[in-house]
Amino acid sequence: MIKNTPRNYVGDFEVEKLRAASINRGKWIFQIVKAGLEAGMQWDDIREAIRKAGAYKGYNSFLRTSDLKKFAKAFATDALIKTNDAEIPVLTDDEFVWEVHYCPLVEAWTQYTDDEKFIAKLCDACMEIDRGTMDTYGWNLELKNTIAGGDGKCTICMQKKK
Amino acid sequence: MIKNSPSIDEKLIVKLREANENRGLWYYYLLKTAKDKGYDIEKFARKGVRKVGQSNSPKFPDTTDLKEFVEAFMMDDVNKKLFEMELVHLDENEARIEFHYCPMTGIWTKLTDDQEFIKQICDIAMDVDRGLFDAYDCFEFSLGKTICDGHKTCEICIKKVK
Repeated sequence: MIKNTPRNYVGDFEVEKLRAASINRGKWIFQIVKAGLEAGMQWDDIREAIRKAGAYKGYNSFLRTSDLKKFAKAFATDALIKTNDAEIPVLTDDEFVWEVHYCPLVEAWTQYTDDEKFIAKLCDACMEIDRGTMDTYGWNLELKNTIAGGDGKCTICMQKKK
Repeated sequence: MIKNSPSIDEKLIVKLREANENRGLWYYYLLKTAKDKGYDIEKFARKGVRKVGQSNSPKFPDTTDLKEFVEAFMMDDVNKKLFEMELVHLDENEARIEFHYCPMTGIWTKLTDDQEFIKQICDIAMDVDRGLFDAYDCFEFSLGKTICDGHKTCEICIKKVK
């Protein structure tokens, strides 16, 4: 059972606007992916597309660095922390753990369907965005918990390769 | 040649512009990857985007009064600033609104010089508004000149037809 209720910043005007913008992105992703799959696209095609978007972000949205802590600072903007009700439980030279307690994309998807298996599949495909970014630095991404999988939070571990 | 520069630099609007550019980034790569792989984006992406628009209709009043509808359409000050919307004409039978900035086009022009592809995905994206108007037999929506076609604004026209 998906649990996806923000704990913080509820009713905050700015955060609600940012969440609404991300929910809207989630709606577009859901309907385009669903229509694409119905037209014969494969999940691997969807993953490839999202991974390319992630690579673009790696090369253009964040600073180019070999320092994971500097990357974490660029990644975890105030707007993103508040939108996703997120925190950073671990930040070392080798590991950056990003924990998300609310996902506006999942919020959009649960407005469209009760099919939690589809939502979990779509979530994992969408995580190609961060995998695509990690590829540009040569780092790993390990997904330990997911809101879409019913864990109540997403635990995203970004690690330097050993 | 596309000209698309925002003129508002308020903090929240800048953040929301980035959020909407992000939607444009995902949308671009989903459609570009699909097209490159031989899928017909005219068929499936239009279907998907239109469904998003149709799902937005409950946010708007159930009315046959054009002025009431336009008031709701233009009510959100933040959205008005994000798209730099201007109501250039309104009477009981016709409304014309111009958008002076498009955040989706803002990212697409960073991703490609292919103006024909940008025009195509812009028109597909406008199916979100066409989908919204599917709920209104009494109104007819049309798209006039667009930023993606090299004009300084995007023009939309809503006519009362019943």
